[in-house]
Amino acid sequence: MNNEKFTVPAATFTERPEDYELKVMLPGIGKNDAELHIEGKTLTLKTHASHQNPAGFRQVVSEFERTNYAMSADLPEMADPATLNAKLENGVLSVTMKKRAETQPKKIAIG
Amino acid sequence: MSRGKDIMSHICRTLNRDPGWHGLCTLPGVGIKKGNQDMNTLMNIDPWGILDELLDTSSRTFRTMRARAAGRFPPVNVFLDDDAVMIDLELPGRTAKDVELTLEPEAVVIADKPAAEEGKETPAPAWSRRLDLPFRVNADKANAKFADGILHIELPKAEASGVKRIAIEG
Repeated sequence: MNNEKFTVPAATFTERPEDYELKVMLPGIGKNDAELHIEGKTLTLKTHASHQNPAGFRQVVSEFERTNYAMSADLPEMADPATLNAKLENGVLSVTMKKRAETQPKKIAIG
Repeated sequence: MSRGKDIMSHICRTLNRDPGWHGLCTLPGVGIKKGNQDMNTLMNIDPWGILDELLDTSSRTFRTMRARAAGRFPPVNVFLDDDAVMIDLELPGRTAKDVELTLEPEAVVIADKPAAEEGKETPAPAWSRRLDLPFRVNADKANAKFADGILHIELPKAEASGVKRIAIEG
């Protein structure tokens, strides 16, 4: 693997009534190979997996690359960084964060 | 990568000239610079850097889109030596139960195995790939393993079929 090259991973960001979910495709990346940081409102992801092609084999078809991934993004205003929860399973990183309580709509009783 | 930046700078220049465009479009070195504002604006237009990836015809994103359109999903890498074939498939989020692997005498078929719904017919596979192999493989010694969304298949070559030398006596 080329240690200097980072690919921007494919990702989807979904807004739900009470939280947000970020799903990032990280094929070939295990839990221990990825680092997720939050600084203020900026989320940063970087992976450091190492992969070697099988020794003694020649590659005859190459439709995807085993790379490391890096991306950074600002979280939406309503996101509460303290409620960030991340899980990396089967090459998919799933990050959820709740919306700040004070931004949630509240019913006001009419007396 | 640079083609993406060229196109971005063309878009920026065009937008900045358009009186109907109320945003500020900047790219370092092009158009209006206002300290750090150009980086923030670029983030707003393309926060994931995906535009560059899509326009870069050698990028993984572009190639994956082309491959899907041509029916070559999921992407595979194939490695060969004299005694075996190794195949890697990129299937993030999937596990062994989502894939059907079938060995034919000189080909391997990897297909989607959609979950069956109650009382309904099993849906047709969403994708399927058939890879022709350069030699017959030994099905008993074949193995496949899913790890971190990559399906890794090892297919050793079958022993030469029944051709034996007969020593001539005398």
